[in-house]
Amino acid sequence: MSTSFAIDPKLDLVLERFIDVPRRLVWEALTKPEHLKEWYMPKPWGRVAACELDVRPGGIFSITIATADGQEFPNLGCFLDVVPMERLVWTSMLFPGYRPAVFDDIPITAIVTMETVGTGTRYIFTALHRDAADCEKNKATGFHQGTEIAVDQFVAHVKAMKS
Amino acid sequence: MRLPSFMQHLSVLERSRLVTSKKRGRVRTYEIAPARFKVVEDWLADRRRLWEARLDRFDDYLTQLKEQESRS
Repeated sequence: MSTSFAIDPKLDLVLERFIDVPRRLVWEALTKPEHLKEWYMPKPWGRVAACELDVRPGGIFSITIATADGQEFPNLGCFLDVVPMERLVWTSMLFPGYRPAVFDDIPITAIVTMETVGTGTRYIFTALHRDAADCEKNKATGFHQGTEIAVDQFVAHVKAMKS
Repeated sequence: MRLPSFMQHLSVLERSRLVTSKKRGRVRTYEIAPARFKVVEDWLADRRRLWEARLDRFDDYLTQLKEQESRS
C-alpha cells in the first residue's frame, strides 16, 4: 500500500501528538484488546464489551461498545496495512478478509503513524471520511444528541469527583 | 476539464445541496450554499472532539503503562 494519501481538511481529521513513552508501548496499547478496552470508551458513557484485533492486512478489526443502558453497538472492519511500531491502517469500508462491508454507520479509514523522538513517540492519527452527504445522514441518526448526552454525563462525573 | 464533466461535478454538488443554481434564459448561475457547509463543519468538529478525548485517554493510559513498567 502506498504511504501517501490526500487529506481533505473539510472532511478529514489529523491529530498529531507527542507522548514521552517508548514506541513499543504505544503500539501495544493500540493493538492489544486488553489495553484498548482501557482507553477506547469514556467510562461514564459505557465500555468496550468485546474486542477482537487480528493485526495483519485483511485481519479482523472488531470493537463492540456497550452504552450505560446496556445497548450494544458493533464496529466491524478490517486492517489494510500493518507495519509494526510504524503504521497501522484500518477501515470500516471493508469487513474482515477484505469483503465489501454492509453497514449503517459512517465508514472511516483510520491511519496511525508513529516515530521515535528522543525518549518518546510522536504519533499522528488520521481519519478519512467519505463525503458531505454522510455527515448529514450521521446528524439525522442522532449522533449529535448522543455526543451531547455523553458530554453532560462526563461533566456530571467530573463534578462528582471534585466534591 | 471539459464542459460535460464540469456539469456533472456541479450536478453532484447540487444534489448534495452544497450549491444551488438558477437558470435565467440560457445562463445557469451556481451559488454556494453556506448552511450546508456548516453541517459538514459541525459534524467534523464533533468527530474531532470524539477523537481528541479518545487520544487523551490513550495518552493517560500509556503514561500509566510506562509507570507500571518502570516500577517492575
